[in-house]
Amino acid sequence: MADGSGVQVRDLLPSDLQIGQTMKETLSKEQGIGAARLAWGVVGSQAADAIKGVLNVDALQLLGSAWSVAKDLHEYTDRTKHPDGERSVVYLGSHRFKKTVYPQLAVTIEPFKPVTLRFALDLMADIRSVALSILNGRITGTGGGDGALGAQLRYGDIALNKLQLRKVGFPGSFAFKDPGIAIL
Amino acid sequence: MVSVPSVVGLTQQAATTAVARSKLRAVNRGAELSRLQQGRVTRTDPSAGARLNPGALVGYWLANGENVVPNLQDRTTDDAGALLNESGFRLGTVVSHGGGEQRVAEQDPAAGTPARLDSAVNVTVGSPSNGWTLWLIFGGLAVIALLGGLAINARMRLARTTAHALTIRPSLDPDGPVSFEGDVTMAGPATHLRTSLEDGEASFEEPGPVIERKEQNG
Repeated sequence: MADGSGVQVRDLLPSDLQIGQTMKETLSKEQGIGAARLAWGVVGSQAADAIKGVLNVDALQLLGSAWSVAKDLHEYTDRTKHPDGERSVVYLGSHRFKKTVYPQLAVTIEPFKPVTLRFALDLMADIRSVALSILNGRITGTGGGDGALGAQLRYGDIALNKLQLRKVGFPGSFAFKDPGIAIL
Repeated sequence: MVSVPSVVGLTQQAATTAVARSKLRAVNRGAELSRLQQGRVTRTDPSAGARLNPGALVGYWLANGENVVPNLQDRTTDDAGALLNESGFRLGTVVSHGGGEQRVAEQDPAAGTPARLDSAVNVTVGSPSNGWTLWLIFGGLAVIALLGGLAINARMRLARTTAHALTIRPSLDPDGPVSFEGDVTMAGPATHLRTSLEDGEASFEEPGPVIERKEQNG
């Protein structure tokens, strides 16, 4: 059983992610902070590292939560059709989707009050095929497949990096954390 | 067989309507850099005029409101302005050094970087004279001396602080903070960063994932 897909969401972002300017523009509007003399380049670099830290999650976890809302899988929530204990494997064909998560960065520059910046991370997936294991109305794992993934970090409507898709292969056997991801 | 209609430059809604009228199915393939206004169709695959069976998919891309800044190096100010207009930008501040023929020596943002449409590109024009070159040399020496001083200053600050410093980076501002990687603790104004991740929505391109095969046991 593989521990993960081998692709962390953070690895889909460029190594030189630049958010210093965005932070400077946003935080400078805050009373007090605007007048503070800060090395924005350094603060931005630390903030980029902090955001990448919170995105140190397996890409398959985010993909799994996206598949859990797919219309075709909804029937697996019906216990009359798929009773408890029934193990199913479904093979999904080619499909594309976007899964968004929101990294939030709370910045405290003493002695000023904290400011929270809400970023958006779009995980773009172009899946060629994938097999999903389903048990008790939950996606419990994947059983192989492949496609391409890319990530774009945004602040408001400003894209902070260029989206670039990268080919990935999913492991032959990967289990989501127990009890799996509930199909909605 | 039906022809793929020409929809480049149209809004998404107008484009998908035109494609549907041609008995084809439009599929959004994403957003990309373009001179076109944000949300306009930049291209289709297959391109306009291609003959397809009714019901076939036609991929389209939308402009994301950004384009690549063109290379203005060695162009006159007039040429640079015209080229910027063609690419969806405008000429911003023009700083002139020396006399003679005024050609672009530097630009900001740099050539090849993506930038919002209608944003300004600042340029420095003029070729450096010998005198200017000397100034650059002296200026470079002065910067090296300043950075050396800053490094000494930073080491002195490090000796005074009890912060758990992993790496020290002197600020270019002599009175500015000295920062430390790790807990993002900074001498001067203390900066703390905390991150969290909030789950969001998923949106599938039509028709979404389709089950091609299923197996059941147990």
